[in-house]
Amino acid sequence: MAIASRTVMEGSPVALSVRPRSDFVETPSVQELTERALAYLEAGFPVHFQGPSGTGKTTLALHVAAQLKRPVILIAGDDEFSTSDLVGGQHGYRYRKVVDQYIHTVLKYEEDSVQRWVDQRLTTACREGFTLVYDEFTRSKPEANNVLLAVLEEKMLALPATNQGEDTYLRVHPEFRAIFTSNPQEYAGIHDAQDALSDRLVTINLDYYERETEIAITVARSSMPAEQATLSVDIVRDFRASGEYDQIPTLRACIMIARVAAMQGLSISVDEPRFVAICMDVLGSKTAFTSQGRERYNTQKEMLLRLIKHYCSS
Amino acid sequence: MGDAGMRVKSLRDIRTLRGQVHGIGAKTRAQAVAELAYLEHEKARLERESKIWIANQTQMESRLQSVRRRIGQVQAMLDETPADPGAARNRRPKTGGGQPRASCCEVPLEY
Repeated sequence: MAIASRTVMEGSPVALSVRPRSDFVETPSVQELTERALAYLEAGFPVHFQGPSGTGKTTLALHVAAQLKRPVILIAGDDEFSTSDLVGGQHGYRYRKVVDQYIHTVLKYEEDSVQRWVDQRLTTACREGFTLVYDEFTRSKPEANNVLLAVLEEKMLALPATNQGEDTYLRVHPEFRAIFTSNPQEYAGIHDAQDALSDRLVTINLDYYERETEIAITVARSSMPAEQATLSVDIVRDFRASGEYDQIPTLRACIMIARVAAMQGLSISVDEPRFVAICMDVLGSKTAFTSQGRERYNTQKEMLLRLIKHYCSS
Repeated sequence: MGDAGMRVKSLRDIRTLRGQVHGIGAKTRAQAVAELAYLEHEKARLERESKIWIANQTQMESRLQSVRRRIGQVQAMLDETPADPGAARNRRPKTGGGQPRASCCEVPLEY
């Protein structure tokens, strides 16, 4: 008997093996947050990191996931997501051909082609006991995330029913863990999370790191000496404290300024026009520039220059 | 017309009374002319059949080549996308305990 079986589809999603980069900074505050999150996860509760952009939610989620020493499945929330994008669906087909010549004078052919089920990331994570990192989950519509309710509470994943006599319920692997991130301040393309889902999550609110952590991360990511990196961090932090912006200047702005200045070999001084230009490019873009707001824009520009002069005068 | 031990396949192979009386060879000119006419007719018939056979053989070889070529194409297409037995739902393993399978293809990600 000869059996030929071919599948014309890609397989299940692959998992990630996450590890910290060489310049990853683990300060006491990062350690404390990590330990808190791990305590909840070890007790079987999903963790939700919530905070404005630039507070390190995704990095922290991946760092916590790495501590669990399990493969990671990463999902980025999207408005176009539906349940099948999380769970899986029928894709392609499975083709099977059997040529039976057990009795040599009898030739028997059997051919059939059936639709093939392909797991999506949530199903793979639940089946294999991987760690799910659902980044910016509020960008997906609430109804797409409904499937998570039973996964997180009853530890059961409900799959679409088929007529092929297959299991329609998948028991979630005991080592499955879930970490969520969201930004409640973001207003572009996000949805409110349903109470039922929020109620199942342990939400840890993240704020901007303290000065020492921001300096340590800036130094690590820019290769700039600590004294000089401190100046760029102080400029950004003061600008953040002023509230005179439309988009919050984050740690990313510190890293941008420091890395470009370090790579260009610029001195961190108000007398260095190229350094001043970098600061204005990075921080000046945080304010909306409209014809009506020209006066405000000029005021903010002057304030930025005063900040640079204050911290970087020789 | 044929030999005595010839296997009979059709009416043409059956000896007539006349043939049995006069034997194989034609005795008279009239008989020879008749036999010649018969042989010419038989020759034409066999040539026609031969032509049909050759045409059929050519047509079959052409069709066989086409089928072989298509088999190669389909086989190559299937070989390019090998089956992934782990993803098939009807091979879904029972879960809910035990040791998880090691992931065969993990993509490294640095954060």
